[in-house]
Amino acid sequence: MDKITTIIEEMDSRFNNIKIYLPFFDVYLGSNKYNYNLPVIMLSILSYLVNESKLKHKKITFRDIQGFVSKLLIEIYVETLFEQELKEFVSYTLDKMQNGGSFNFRYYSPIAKKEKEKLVKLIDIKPEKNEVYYYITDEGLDFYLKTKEFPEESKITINLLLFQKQIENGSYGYALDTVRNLRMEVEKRIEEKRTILERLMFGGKEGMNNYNEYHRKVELQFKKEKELFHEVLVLLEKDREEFIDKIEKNVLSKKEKKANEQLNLISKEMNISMENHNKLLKEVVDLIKKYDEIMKMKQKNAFSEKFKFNEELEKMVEKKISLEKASVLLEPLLMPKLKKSFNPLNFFKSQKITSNKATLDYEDLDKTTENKKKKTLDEEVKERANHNFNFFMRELLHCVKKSEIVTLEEWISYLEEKYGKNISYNADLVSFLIKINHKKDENFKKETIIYDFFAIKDNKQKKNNTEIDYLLKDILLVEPLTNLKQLEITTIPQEDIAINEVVKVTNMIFKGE
Amino acid sequence: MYTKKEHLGEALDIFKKLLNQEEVSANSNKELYDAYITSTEIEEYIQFICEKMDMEIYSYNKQLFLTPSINNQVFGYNNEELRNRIPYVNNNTQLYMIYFVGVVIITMFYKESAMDTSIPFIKIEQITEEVTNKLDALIDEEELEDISNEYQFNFADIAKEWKNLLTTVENNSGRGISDKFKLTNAACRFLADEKLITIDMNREIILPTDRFKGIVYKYFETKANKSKVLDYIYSL
Repeated sequence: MDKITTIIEEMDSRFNNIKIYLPFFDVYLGSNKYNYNLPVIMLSILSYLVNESKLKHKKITFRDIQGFVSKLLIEIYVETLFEQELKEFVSYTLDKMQNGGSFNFRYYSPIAKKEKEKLVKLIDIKPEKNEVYYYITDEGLDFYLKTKEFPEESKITINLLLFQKQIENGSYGYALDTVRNLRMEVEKRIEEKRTILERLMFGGKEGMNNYNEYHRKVELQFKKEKELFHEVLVLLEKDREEFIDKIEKNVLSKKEKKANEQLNLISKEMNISMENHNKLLKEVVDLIKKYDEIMKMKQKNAFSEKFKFNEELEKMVEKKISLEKASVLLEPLLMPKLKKSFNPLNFFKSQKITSNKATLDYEDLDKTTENKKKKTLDEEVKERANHNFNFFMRELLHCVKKSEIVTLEEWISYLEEKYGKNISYNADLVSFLIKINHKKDENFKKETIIYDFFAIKDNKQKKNNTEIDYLLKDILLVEPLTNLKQLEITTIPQEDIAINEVVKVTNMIFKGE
Repeated sequence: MYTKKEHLGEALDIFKKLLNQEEVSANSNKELYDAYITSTEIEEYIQFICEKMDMEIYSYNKQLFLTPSINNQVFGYNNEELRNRIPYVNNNTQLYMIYFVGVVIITMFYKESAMDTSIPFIKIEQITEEVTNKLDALIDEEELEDISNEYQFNFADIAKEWKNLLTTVENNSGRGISDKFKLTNAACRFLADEKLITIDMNREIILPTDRFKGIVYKYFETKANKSKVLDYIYSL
């Protein structure tokens, strides 16, 4: 009877351990509209996030993942996808991995005697200053590490013991892997704090249980792990001293040289792990403070009123409320409007006539120019077009200088934000885009042309698009653009982009280097 | 030791930065943020300034946010100003459709106001579907030919307009508002300009920003604000 009681008591905990496998098997068993193996791509992306985001603390964007997957497809399938196809494939894969936010793991709890639900996510995304970054969650890290078959509890202890054995046996290659895993486990334990806090905020009673469990785990195991760290450090130092002795006597064999290099790497990783491990206690103290804050907030929230958006919207629709009134739901979210006024004293300020920087203005086709000397219509049109081409090319160069890679759509948005929406209706803009969009390949493949600024200045540019060469040369003579060495324009013939409500042009990607 | 004048000065500096749409947080303009958080006097001064300007200031996730209260004639937008702000919107019908999409986006992230949303992102195509679902129920085929009173834009009128828009599946990231996807995109770009969402066109998804979450939590969970909003909506 006791055994059955224990089995039942442990059930919830076992389900909690199993839940992290759900996303992978959902992908494994689910549909796939591509010929590439999604489970492989999924595990590869997780590995990439662990190495780059967790270990190197880099912020990973969609583009980074796209670049990684591109290399992966070349390695595994010897295939290269076009930019748009690759973007769609990566987007499809990430959609599968995220499942709209999280996966729902449902199970029956024999203790609670009812169905329970746990949300699982292996990766997460967060916006930060107009960019979106991808992270592996600690559930994701847990899943990833478990694919190398480490048991649940005291992974730090197990790694330390294993490491000890490997150093004693001189298996430095394996020891290096182990110490890297150890570092990840320590980082995971620190990251857990963030998850605990989230669960405390939204998790109700379970959040409390998670907090207590984490607290107990860190306190109990910390002392034991600290002792083990000390023991393996002593072992490591002893081996290093032996190698240093041999180096001084110049009696290191080739094999021993390699082992010494590995030991140095191991030492580095170990130092980072120890530093992070020492942080753990501090994290627990911080967690206790945050716990108090959250409890106070929850007490306050118990008496606050929720605004039921969905319910209120449905009521408004049913009662046929005027949208002018209903739009008040959006008003508090908008930013304050800033009204600017003109100071007439500005008339007396000294004004710059010319400027080195591009305080340019394009000529609107509708504006009249009374002070110009009389010219033929053709001459006027040509002059205006040349002026505007110069203007658009400068704006393009400024844009790629800021952002390195810019799509046609992004550049049009940039122009509209700077000069107003009318600019996208400027006929010279369309002509300019047609001019820089060089001859399409008959098979409608992508084409890239590179404008090398040094070659252009020295008249050594390969003749691809003479008019653009001359345009760039004129600009470079006046404005050096010291940080830019070339402009790369890639045409994507099978894609058309609407630059305004009337006109569509072939899509292009601009890259400055 | 700060004088009253210095406290007021700091409060005005914070207000000015926020009004100018600059970030005041633990990462940007940190001294001002710390001053707000650590000094009760500065906090009181800035609350007073906001009250006089008919605005609200909130702290959420280590950042300060400023927002005009509803019907703020000085710092809030009227319809004409919003039409001028949002590209391709030339009349009130189009404007109210943008509003409606914005409100639907709020309901997709939040069933009810809360400290945070459990929905990390939404696909743009899902927004279009949700708007269609919400409006479909209102269309009575017999009423399609009715002419609506142009000063009373109710949901049925918007529903008819929405139904008449094309539903294209290609080039749904283009600009303009001539079809459902483009209009949804225009609404998303407007909300992104207001720093309420981040748009990721790589995956065609939108994510809520801290500003969005902070105001939904702090503004809409205050009893007084909730009453103000609902009283306005249901007033005759």
